[in-house]
Amino acid sequence: MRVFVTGMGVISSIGVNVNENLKALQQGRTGIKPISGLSTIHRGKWPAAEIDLTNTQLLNLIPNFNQGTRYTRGQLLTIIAANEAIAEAKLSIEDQKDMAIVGGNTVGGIDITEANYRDYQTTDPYYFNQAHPGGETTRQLADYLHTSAYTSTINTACSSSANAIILGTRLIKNGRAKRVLVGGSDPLTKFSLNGFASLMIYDEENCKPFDARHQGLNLGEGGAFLVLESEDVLGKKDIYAEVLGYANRNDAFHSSASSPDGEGAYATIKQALKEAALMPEQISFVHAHGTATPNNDTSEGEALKRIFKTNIPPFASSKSYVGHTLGAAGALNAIYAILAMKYSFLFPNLNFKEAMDEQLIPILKVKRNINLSYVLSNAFGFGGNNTSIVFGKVNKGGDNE
Amino acid sequence: MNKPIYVNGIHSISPQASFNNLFFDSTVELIPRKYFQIIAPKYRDYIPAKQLRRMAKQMKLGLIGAQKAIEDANSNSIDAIIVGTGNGNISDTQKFLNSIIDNKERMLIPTSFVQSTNNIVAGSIALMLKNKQYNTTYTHHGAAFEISLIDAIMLFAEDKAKTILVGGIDEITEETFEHKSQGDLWTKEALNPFAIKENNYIQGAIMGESSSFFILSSQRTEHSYAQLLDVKVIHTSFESLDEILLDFLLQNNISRSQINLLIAGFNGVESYDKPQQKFLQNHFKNTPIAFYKHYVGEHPSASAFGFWMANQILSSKKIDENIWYTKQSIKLNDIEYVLLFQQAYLSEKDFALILLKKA
Repeated sequence: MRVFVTGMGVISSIGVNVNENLKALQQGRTGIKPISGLSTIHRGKWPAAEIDLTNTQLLNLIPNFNQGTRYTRGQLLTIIAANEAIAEAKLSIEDQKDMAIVGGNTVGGIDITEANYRDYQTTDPYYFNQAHPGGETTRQLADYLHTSAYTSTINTACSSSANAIILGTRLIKNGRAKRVLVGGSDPLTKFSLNGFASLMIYDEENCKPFDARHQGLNLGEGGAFLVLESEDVLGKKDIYAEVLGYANRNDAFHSSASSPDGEGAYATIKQALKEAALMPEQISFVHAHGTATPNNDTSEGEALKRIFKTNIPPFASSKSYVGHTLGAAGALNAIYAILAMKYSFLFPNLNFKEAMDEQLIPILKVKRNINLSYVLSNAFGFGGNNTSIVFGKVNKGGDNE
Repeated sequence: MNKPIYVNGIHSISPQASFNNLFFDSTVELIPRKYFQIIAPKYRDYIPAKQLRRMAKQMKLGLIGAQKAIEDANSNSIDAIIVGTGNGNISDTQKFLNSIIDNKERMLIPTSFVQSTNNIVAGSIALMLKNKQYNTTYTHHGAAFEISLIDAIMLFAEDKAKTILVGGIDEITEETFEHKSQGDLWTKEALNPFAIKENNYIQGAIMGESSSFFILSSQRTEHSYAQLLDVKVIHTSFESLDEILLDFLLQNNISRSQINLLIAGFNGVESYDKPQQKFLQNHFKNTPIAFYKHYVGEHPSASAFGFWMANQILSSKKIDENIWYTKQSIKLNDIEYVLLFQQAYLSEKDFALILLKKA
């Protein structure tokens, strides 16, 4: 059973839809700037990739919002991205009814929890009870879309929404769904900002993936969703890509660090290529996880060298545009990789000046009219949770290029 | 059709004496409770003291549960680790939130932040077992455990695994109780949980916690507790549930009359229990109904304890008379098929069905 991507939706610091995100990538325009929205002592100083819209403004982007005044920022980002993906896939109301949903996120409704933590007695009990856990973000989406099917939420830290794509594909291949809406979201929170800062891996300047001067990551926020459809129900629909191979492997090295030899990432990429029945040299672009922490970049870089030897394909990390969007990151990487393939371009890895390793020079300039047949997208998380996915270019009707 | 899957190892740490799988042999504590807390195992017997110091409760429970389930099944290789948790590691989340406020975002210690992620249990088990295989964590209110079982069923069907560790875990803290019990969703005073019987409802559910781990295998052994036939989760309403239930049974070639035992997640709250009771009694007129939240309290992965109980019943261990929602006389040996029915408390459109058969 073949599985295709027929719709995509994104909201991030570089745009509130796919088209705006595409333009920013093609222009090499970052969404990272000093924090202005989040209430934190680091406001105005540290950089982050915020979406410059208040919750009320986000709410205005959602037609027929039916959850009253109860929502978290993650729920709004989720619904905005999911709505665009569904519209792009031209799903009918009937199609949506039995569509399965798999969402991924890491902080759930912690934005509301942290803002009201000591005022819990006067806070609507909904927030501490239902909205705080991550499952609620997906539940709200299922309620909003009036779906009546399998609905679940994954939290494998920063690889959550990449695993959502894998699970959605497997639900179709196992005959448990025909269509699955997959993706993830996370808002910027004081919780995660201070968390990464306490680990001494928050760069107080713009992050520099794969650069020798890399100091750490910048956080971002966003929502990213894809519609996956089985070949059975595809019809003559426009197709973005085919999900060809995927793998989830644990690094089993450390709870918050990757092994220096990239063992977990290596095993994951290797398995994903095997599933896709592709040789490493057939991959034409790698969307790296590339958080810009010295630990990630070294580990992922070692894995790329072990897989691709001296022929490392063009690679880049969009963390230099949209920061680390945590629960959204895996799906966001996948969408950017698919956009590169669909529109035949490569986007540069921003802020790169000085190689940390001569063999690991990312894409430095926009390249257009470049045919990409197969792309690899990585997402790695705390807890050793590594995930890689291979997508293939498809012509209308389902033929691979 | 799914491939045959057997439950070969079970373990539960709960507010009852389930630790040595002896709960049904020992006396159940019939004391009034404001909320349920687990009977803490001797952590030092299982986890090196050096690691124990920084470890949050949920990690300790997960690491011990994994060891004990593996030991029970006598498994030497695990092909996948899957954990379901509705709330994740709340004690470390609270610790980090408190330190952000108290220290005004300065000089924070990262341990509780790192351990606050929901996947810390599955990740720590992988680290302990040096297991570099498939590893994932589901968090979806009261359906997280059932979603984990579905993933396992698919891995078997895909020939990706022969032995899988699956767990359901949720913890409680005093602070959680304080934060959550502001409305009328939870009881604020100590209640006798065994008072929850037909037409004897309580005001607000009794909060609880438990941690249950299982080894699922494609191989039947003499020690197999039960056969896992199928699991379904669905976001829907009671109106559509009739058809869904019938389809689920049909797909597994089972008729309603073949189900000998229903296990339900009643928690004593009238608005939550009543529609479920109506639904079950409508479809299964004379089938006995057992329940379990009066042993462990309400929490998203309480159904993993229900699953542990179902496995005990199907392997013909003793039972505690208090399992019956309505008084029943049934011979344990006659029980062939068990259906677990779960509706997620506070996310009431999320339903889950688990179908088990005698091994």
